Amino acid sequence: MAPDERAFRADVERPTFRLGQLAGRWRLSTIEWPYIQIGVTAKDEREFVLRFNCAGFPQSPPTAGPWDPELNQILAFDKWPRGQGGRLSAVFRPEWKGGSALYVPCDRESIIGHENWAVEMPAKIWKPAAGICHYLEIVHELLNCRDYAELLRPAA
Amino acid sequence: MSTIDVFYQGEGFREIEFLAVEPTATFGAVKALIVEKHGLDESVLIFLEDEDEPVAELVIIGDIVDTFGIKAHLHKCRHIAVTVTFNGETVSHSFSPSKTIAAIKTWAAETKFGMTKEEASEHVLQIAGSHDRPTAGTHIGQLAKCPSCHLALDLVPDQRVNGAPSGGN
Repeated sequence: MAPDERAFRADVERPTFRLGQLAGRWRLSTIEWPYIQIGVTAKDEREFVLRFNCAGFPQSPPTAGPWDPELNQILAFDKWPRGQGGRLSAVFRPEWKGGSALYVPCDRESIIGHENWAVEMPAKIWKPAAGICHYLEIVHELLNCRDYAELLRPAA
Repeated sequence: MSTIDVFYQGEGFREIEFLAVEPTATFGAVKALIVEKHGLDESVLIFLEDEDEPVAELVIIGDIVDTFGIKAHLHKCRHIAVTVTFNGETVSHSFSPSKTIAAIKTWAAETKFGMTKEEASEHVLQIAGSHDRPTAGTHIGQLAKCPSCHLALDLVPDQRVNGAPSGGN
């Protein structure tokens, strides 16, 4: 097993990851190195699966985008989490990198060309010691923030 | 009967720690295991998450376990003096070290600064003088050391990711 895969598998054994999983905040689905599928729960209890590419973990940041596990492809854009023009909308951008990466500072693909983020939002820059939970905390917070548009349910 | 998961934090710990114990174990026994494992001072107190007072050491773990197991905290201080500053105004109160950052934010943003729940969700707590933003589940005792037992926080807006070019490839 390569060092990056070994490091990732150790990371998801840490209590912080396990506690998040027990609390229903996220759920490890599959590991097909370097691709990892993890579901993240939104405030309306919908689960959005992200497919991470974790090559080089943890020194190299991961990159991730919404994924359709059944079709094994990027999630259809009309099924992406919807925002109302605020913080979530700024991150879940189907046009960004063809939908393969979230527009967040802790994402390997998105940080390229955005060195200003290190100064403007240092709390969201990838931190190898914090591991995959750092990325998951940011996504979970967004899926539970005011900007997230909840799924409309039919009246009872 | 299967073991019970004990997730715990403490003064100076870098992250959440874990222990599996028998459901018949008392909190006193669990504390002793943790003290030995981490070389802690035997005078530490053991708290349940978000509770105001230490848990009695004769209480049996299996009697109060919830879905996640047990979330506990170990600290020498019974209370942490917390200040939260927002828009130049500072509020203060003493809390048990097992209070979560989420509970402190609710107290500061909604109770003291009058925000709605939705407005509060657009703000985060940041350690004063740093860029560190502890996660919602962090216990304040992890961030405050004895004997000062003090924690200064700022309530700041959670920024939108800006500078977005029109597309990427």
